[in-house]
Amino acid sequence: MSGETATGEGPTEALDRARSLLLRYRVPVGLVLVVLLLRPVISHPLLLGYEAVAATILIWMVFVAAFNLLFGYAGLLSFGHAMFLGFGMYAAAIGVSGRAGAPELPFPVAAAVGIAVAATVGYLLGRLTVEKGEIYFAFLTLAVAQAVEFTANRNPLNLTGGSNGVTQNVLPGFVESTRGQLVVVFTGLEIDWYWFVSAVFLVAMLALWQIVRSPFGRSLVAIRENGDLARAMGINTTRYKVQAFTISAAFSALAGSVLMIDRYGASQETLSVITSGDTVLMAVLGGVRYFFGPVAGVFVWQFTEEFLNEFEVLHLGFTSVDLSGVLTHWQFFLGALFVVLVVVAPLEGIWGYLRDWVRDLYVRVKGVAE
Amino acid sequence: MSSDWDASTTADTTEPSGALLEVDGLAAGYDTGQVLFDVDLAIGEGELVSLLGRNGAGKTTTMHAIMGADEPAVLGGDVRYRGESIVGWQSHRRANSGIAIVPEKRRCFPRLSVVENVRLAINHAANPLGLDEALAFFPELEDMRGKEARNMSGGEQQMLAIARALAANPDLMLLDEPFEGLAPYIVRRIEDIVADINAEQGITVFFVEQNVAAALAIADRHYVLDEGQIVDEVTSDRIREDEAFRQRYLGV
Repeated sequence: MSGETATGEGPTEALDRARSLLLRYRVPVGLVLVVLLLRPVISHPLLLGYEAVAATILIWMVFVAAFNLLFGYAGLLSFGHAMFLGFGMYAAAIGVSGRAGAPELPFPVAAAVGIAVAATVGYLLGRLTVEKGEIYFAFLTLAVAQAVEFTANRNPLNLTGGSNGVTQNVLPGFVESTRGQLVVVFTGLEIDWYWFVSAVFLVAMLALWQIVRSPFGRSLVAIRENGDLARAMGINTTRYKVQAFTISAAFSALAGSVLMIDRYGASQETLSVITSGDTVLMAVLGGVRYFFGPVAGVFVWQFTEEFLNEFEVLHLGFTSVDLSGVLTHWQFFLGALFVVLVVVAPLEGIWGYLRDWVRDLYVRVKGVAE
Repeated sequence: MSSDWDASTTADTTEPSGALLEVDGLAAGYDTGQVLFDVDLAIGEGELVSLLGRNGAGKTTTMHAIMGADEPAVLGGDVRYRGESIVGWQSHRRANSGIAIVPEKRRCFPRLSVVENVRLAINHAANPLGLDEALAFFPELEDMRGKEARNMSGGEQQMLAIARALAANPDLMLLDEPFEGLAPYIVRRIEDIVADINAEQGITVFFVEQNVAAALAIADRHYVLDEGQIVDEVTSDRIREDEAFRQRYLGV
């Protein structure tokens, strides 16, 4: 197997090459598979049986992945990331609707404004907080997010709509709502909302992947692992952390602007501390050390939430079992799974286990084959 | 704080001015108390010098003060690199000006591979070596380029840490207890590597060590630190011959 046998290289070599290519591009391939499989899987009758939530799940994956750039890679736990989602959501909603005398903006412009605001706030807040230590960072981000929610609730200049949020005239011109389904109309073509979101998902996630594997991303991991050593190697850790915060905020706002269309407007609940907390939990559930951790975490979380809600509504009724009792039971089990994960390996999450399991299986199968 | 055999007088007479690294009357400490009281060192370009002393003498504190870590706080005195005071400089600026360190504990980034660890140094150095150039010193690491540091043995991690420091192509390499916790044959291998780095690459090396035998094997000039003060500057011969001195300051 050593010689380079002119043209007719053996099937083993070709297979090896294909395998190494697949290994190298496993993240893009995985992302495409997520997009292709998510909708058919959840709309299977045995699972959810409907597909509307698939696009929402993709948007959440982008948001939690953006959050995890900061938490999982740079090691900074933000407890106020909902505000960045909110900046994107509110800027898009206010801009598109042009309410209260605000200039009416095309969606891309409004979204860009939201992303710019989020990035600016992320940058300034980062300058103030990233070197303050983990606990302070968590609390300061939480406090600022609370202030943002409070401000939105006060409805300044009648822009944010207070507790009602912004829900009037929020769909941009290229999105139409027919029978509760969103359709993107683009130069005469009608594109399913899910595919539009998929495109945003792929672009955003591939960009995040490039960031994570770039020298910049590797430096973030180094800072997370050993800040003193990173500094002693010439890395300006403060600058890197601030940049990570800024990028994370920008991608969060991008997710927020798309979520605005998906949810038909901006809601004040999105800004709440519960959203920020859920974000942390989804990332931890999936596994913060892995690029696909947030993807896995969001899927399990959102799917379970939907599934449980449906379970209550469906009333299977084949026995006289109290369904709300079962429901609490299910939530208890999700909580129990979470506790087990956090106790056993807080940073591995579901994705870490899946990975190890698949790797073991592969090694065993290979061992048997040989 | 000065005694009759204050080391600074010895250092001043034996060392030419314009040393690469000069530490002058350094005092430093932590919240819990002062550790260094009067540290004077002068390391000339191309030299290989050790700092010896018992556990708790302040060796690692000295290293951290030279590298500009968050702790200890410098309370007095001066650290000069190429004649310029660097006391107020942040750690990364010192690194960028040509100082590399191999720390005592947590020597590598555990979740990064061999190549990623070394690349990191290359990406953040002003005038780095190439990846292969840096790894050429360490044939042991050749087969494990993709391996994460956390899955490597202590000796392998130490080699990786030195490879990383070397890749930055520094003018001055600081090593904090490079032989600690390693098997005897690896200690000898690291001795060779450190000596080679000094002799072949022309990199000035300053290292802190408790393992007196290993320090004697590669360096000929040694500072002796005791209770936060430099008590003497000696040659290897002196340490070998003077048992009372060894007993008193090095505990061997």
